Amino acid sequence: MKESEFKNLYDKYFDSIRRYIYYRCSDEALATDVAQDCFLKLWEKKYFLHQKNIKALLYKMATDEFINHWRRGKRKIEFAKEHFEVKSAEGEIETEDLTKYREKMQLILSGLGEKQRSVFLMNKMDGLTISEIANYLGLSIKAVEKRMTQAWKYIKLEVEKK
Amino acid sequence: MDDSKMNRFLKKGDIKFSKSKEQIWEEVFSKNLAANKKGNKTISWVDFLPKKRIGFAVAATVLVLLGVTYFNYQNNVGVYEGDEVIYKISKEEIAEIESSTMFESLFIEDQEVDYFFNMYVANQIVDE
Repeated sequence: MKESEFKNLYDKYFDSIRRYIYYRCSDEALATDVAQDCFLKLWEKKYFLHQKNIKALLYKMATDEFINHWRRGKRKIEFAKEHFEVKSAEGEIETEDLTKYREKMQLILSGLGEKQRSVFLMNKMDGLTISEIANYLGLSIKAVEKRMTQAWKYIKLEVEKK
Repeated sequence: MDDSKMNRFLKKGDIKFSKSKEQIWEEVFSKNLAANKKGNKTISWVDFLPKKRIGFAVAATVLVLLGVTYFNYQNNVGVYEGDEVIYKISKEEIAEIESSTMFESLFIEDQEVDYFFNMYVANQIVDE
């Protein structure tokens, strides 16, 4: 195993793993910690020597690590109180309409269940397909579809309310 | 707020973290990797053997062998002289003796049987 190989993996997957955890907890520090821990473990244990689907392994490790953090009670995660930040792409002109829209979306997303939100944002923001998400998270396609449907239902309901 | 508008918005959206992955690499990984290089251990195929499973398999085999040995020991029939066992006959030996006795008895004529009966069995009954 070479450092350059590890760096390649890091460059390729670090952001997606961090974003995935962020989708779940909307806590930047925790997302960074978990992603960091995953890659450190990967380096120490040299898992990838015998792993074909390294991305799925990383997602699995991140999920486990996130649950561990949660169980240990290192951080209190309060989804409802924190605003989920979705910043528009760089260079985009901020209009009043866009700002309002963003605020609305943040509020709605923070109210979503973490499982539904992570699947929903992985699909919408990262552009991952249902089968890719199912593969990475070790879920069935049906389960991912169900979470997506639940997320859509909730969002539509909230939009109608506001 | 329709679906397509929401989709467009989320696609454009990005999450900005205060520290970039390059910064994290510099702060955390470059040091760790350098430290790891110093004490780098070469990995051999032995490291990937399922040691626990092999251990359990060996323990199970030993237990089975012990069980079989004990069972066979219990099945031996002893030839006694007083209280002392002077010889142990295994099950196989007993089966062999029985089959050979049965085979030989097929060639004994009826007269011979009568003779032995009168000589030994009948006399014994009379004596008693």
